[in-house]
Amino acid sequence: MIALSRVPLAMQLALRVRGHAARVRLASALHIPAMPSPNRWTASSHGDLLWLGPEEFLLAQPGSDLIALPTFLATAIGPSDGAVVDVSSARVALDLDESDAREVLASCCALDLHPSVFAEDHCAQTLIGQAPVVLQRLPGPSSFRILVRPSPEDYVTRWLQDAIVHPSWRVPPEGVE
Amino acid sequence: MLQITCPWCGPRDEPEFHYGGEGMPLPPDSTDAEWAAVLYQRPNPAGRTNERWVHWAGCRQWMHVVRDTLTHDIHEVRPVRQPDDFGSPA
Ligand SMILES: [Zn+2]
Repeated sequence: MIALSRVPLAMQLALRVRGHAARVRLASALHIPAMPSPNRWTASSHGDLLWLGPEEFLLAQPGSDLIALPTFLATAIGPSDGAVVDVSSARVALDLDESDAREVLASCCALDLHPSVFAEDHCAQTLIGQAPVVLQRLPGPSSFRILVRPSPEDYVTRWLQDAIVHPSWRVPPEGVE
Repeated sequence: MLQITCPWCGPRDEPEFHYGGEGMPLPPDSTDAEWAAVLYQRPNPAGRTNERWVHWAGCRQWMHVVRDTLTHDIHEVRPVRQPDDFGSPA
């Protein structure tokens, strides 16, 4: 049973925001106390908000009011302090729900994903194989979301499926060569 | 493998970075020959060098890296852009 599923995201928005005041306005519009710290994500009123860079965030899976949302957020940021760009087609989401999810990812991703290092509010941009991805730790004991560009989606899926089917990391039982 | 501690993302492996050349002051008013020397003629010293790297597979930020070309020891990494109040680097 391969617990790797493609998750439809209604909308993805790239948010660029510069300066403290604009960040406060944007956080308020998203009903969160503050914009997420580096390599962290938070659930906002309009979907998951992921840190991508010092002035760059990704809003994924917004749930409601989709057509008005970009304008609403652009107004909150202000005309000269950033931008909102619809990047809904830029990445697809793959959810890895597998008790060995961390070990599966370890076969193709160099990040230390141990829960003591990569906790439930963590996200990171990194490489799976040679493909750039956004990795998001989901709530739960061992769940990850992988946001990947459509063209290397098949490549990333094959890496993960191969690790699931051929678990080279598993220590063989006693007495088995 | 070289591991660089990104000021934002923490320690990451070298494939996530691109080398951006030695960090040298760029002369604002120069001849083409002087520009060419800055861009293409590297001092390439043995020992500590000031380099620029970009974390292309991560936060896509540029950083100054002080690296020893003999030992590969990295002595210092600091962001090219100074952080303001958008959260302290990792
Ligand atoms: Zn980084």
